[in-house]
Formats: sequence, C-alpha cells, structure tokens
Amino acid sequence: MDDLAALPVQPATAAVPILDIQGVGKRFAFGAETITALSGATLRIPKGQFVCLIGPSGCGKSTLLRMIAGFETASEGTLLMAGRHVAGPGPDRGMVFQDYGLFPWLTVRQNIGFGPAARGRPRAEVAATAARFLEMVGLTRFADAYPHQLSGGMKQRVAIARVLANQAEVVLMDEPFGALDAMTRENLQQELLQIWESAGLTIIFVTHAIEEAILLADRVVVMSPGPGRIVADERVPLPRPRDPTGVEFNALRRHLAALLGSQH
Amino acid sequence: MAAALGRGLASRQALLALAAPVLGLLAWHLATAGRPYSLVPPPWDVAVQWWDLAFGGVWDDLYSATLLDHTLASLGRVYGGFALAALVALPLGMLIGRVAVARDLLDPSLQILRPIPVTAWLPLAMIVFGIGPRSAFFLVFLGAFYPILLNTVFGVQSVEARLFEAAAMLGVSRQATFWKVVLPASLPSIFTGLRLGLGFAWVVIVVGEMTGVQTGLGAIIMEARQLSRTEIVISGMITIGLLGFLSDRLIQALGRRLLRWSPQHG
Repeated sequence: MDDLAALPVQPATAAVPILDIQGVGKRFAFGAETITALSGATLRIPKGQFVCLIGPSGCGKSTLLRMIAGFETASEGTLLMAGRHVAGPGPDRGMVFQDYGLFPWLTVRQNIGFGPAARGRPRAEVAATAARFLEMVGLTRFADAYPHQLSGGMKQRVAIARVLANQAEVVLMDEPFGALDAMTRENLQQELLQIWESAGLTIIFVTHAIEEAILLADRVVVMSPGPGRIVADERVPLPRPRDPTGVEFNALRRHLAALLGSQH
Repeated sequence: MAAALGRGLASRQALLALAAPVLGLLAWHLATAGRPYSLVPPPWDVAVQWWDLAFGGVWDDLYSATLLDHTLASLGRVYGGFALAALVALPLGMLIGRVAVARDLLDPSLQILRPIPVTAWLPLAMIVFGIGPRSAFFLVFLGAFYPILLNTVFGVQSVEARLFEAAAMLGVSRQATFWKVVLPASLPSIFTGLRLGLGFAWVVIVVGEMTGVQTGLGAIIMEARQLSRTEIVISGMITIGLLGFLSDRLIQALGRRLLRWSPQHG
C-alpha cells in the first residue's frame, strides 16, 4: 500500500506531449451566479498513453474531455494538441460517446466510412478503409445493417471503428461502456486494449468505475468536485493482461477508493 | 409453419377488414332498395352509375365515360398544387427552422395566418383568381402548404445535438453540416409533412372545384347534385376516396423505401 502511494507521479517530459493541458478551467454562468465546473487542470499526456479520468459526477471529467474535443472552450488556461491550440472539434481528436452518436440513416459501413467520405477521400479508398475497420471490430457480417438493428455493444464497436477509420490520433471516450451489460463491457474492454496496442493510439477514457480504470489505464487521473479539479495522478505499474483478483490490483483499487472517498 | 401461420393471420386480417364495408353495404341496401322515394339510391344503382361514368354503355348520356377526364383534371390540380406547396414550404421550413433571422421575420406572420381555415380563403381566392381552376389550384396549394411547412420546421429543429458533435469531430465543416446531418436527420419529419399535405390536398380539392370549374371530381359532384343525380354524387365521392387512398399508399411505399433506416418507418 505504502509503496504504491509513494509511486512518483511522473511528469511526462519525454519529447513534446501530444496533449498539453495547462491550468485549464471552465466556468458557466448560471443565472446571476457563476459555477466553476473545473479549475486549474494541468496534464501532459505523451503519445501512446492510455489515461483514465476518474471521479464522481460534478468533478469536471466530462467537461475536461469536451474541452479537449473542442466542443467547449476553456475559460482559463491553455490546451495544446500536438503543439497547436485547440480551436474547435477536429478529426485528430475522435470522440466516442456513451450514447454512441451514430448516424441512424447510414449503414454500419457508411458510418465507419463517414469521416473519410466527408473529407473528400476517393470512393475506393473510403470503401477499403471501411472494410478494414469493419474487420477490426468484427462487424463485417453487419456491414449493411442500420444502427437501430444493432445491440448496444455493436453500436459502440461501430463508434470506435468510425473514429479509428478517420485516423484520429487521440481517442476521447466518455464513459463509453457505461450503458452496456457486464459481459459486453468486459469483451469491449479487451478489444479496446488490443486495438490500442496495435494501433499506437493515445486514449483518454472517462469513467467512474475504479476497476475499469485500473484494468485499462497506464495512468489514472483522479478528480474531485466542488469545484472540479485534479487531486491525484497515479501510474498503474501492472503488466497486461491484468488480473482484477490480484493482490497489487486490489491494493491499487483500495488506494484509489481512498483518494475518491476522502473528498466527500 | 411460420409462413403458413403468417398467411393465416393475413387472411384473417383481410377478412376482418372486409367485414365492415360488406355490413355497411348490406345495411345501405336494406334501407334503400325497393323504396321509390328514397333520397339515397341503393348501392346497386350507384354501382351501375359508376360503371357508366367510367366506361359508358349503360345510360349513354352527357356523363357517360367521362370519369377519366374528371379524374385527370382533379389529379393534375391535387399533384400540381401539392408540388408547388412542397417547392415553397420545404426550403422555407428549413430556413425558418435553422436561421434565427428567418424565424424572427416570418414565423409570427405565419402563425397568425395559419388558423384561417382553407375554406375561408375561398371567397378571396375567387375574387383574386376568378371562378375557375386557378382558385382550386390555389386552395390545394394552401391546404398542403402548412402541414409540409410545420413538419419541416419541426424536423430541422429537432436534430439531436449529439449528431452535430459527431459530425464536427469527424471533420465535417459547418457549411457541409446541413447536407450531411440536418437534412437526412429531418427526413422522417419532412416525410410526415408531405404525407399529411397530400391528404389535405385531397380534402381541399372538392371545395376548390365547387367554384364553377367545368371538369373535376368536385365539379361533377356539385353539378350532379343540382340535377338530382345522387348516384353520380356518390360515385364521385367513392372515386375521390379510392384515389386519396391509393395516393397515400403510394407515398407510404415511397417512405418505406427512403426511410428504411428509421425504426418508425422501415
């Protein structure tokens, strides 16, 4: 326990981080009042890292993710993606939503090819890309189905493939498996890890499940509400595949639970 | 087994669907047949009259074998007025639904004009367009216009915010969002508007053709009433009913094809 707590929080100084978040905050006007959803968040995320943001509702984890995505603007601080200011949504930062956000009028194949097609790639290239990522997420048989014909797990596979087919460098995931049943969730967690390892992605994954965070992440960023802020930044030093019943796994789980619990 | 069961169910459904009209016809027959002073002719007389109206060879009078001409005249006005209404209401609805300035400029006026029933426009239409097919055309246009407009506005306004975010993070530019997201997402609503509009067009056509038009189903119904040819009145009504029904079926089939992706339509 003690040695885990003593693990150094390594600032990722190696080369230029793909995401450099410096003192970022977000304030909302709520009637006459101003509500601080997030303040002073600083994170440097190197390329290829799998980061989980964890915390109770109201801790600003989704707000931070949406600012990285460019859906919301920061009220303070700077947000750099590959050295450039984030000025809005862009295909370099793909988002996977909890409610999928698939286009219901497009087939699975067309949803996956949507990004390249929208950006004017040649038809043959779009088709080849779609086929490749259909295969990767195991949905080739359902290529011509429409989203409403799919299960939740299949929809989320499409959403992941859609972002990958668009060559996103950073994949932002907002509680992506929160609406799925336990079995499907476990399968998708394993598949996501495989894809992450083979594709060399950088993933920022928001969750409120401690176990999910430890199972997936290289690094767990713990956040706290009132106002939203980062309270801890922990490495997960366990080799993969990780065993949720293992001693170190559970030591880390207790440690994170204590960090989360101490805020209430 | 399942197929046989399906067929059994389908035939049972068809049987039930036929039961009501058959009973209705029977009641109509019993109430009118053999009564010389009945105001309403018995169904058989109407059937004979309809045949003569459609193909001739029974009475060989002024009305024999004229049904096709009247039908074509009405169809032209219904689909012409409907098409014009769609042509104006679709872009206008998209504008009002997506552009704040257009909404602020046009929406209040349209809301005030909307409660005026189409039939209340009839006298003014006759004054402006004169007695004749142009008034009928105008009324059909007006009848189809509001359902198409309102459903288009609703459709383009109720696109899920999530879909805009999804398109933006996949690299769709702001200008392209309308074609890539708004239009396809609002198709089911737009389609509902078109279907309602076409239905209203059929409702309004009869009123429109009562204004002294020479040909058209509404015109012969009114004319036959003056001549106490009640069989023709009812034949005309039945024809309008059938055409309206077929027209709705056609647009529904089109919708099922275009909106296969939508759980409500597919």
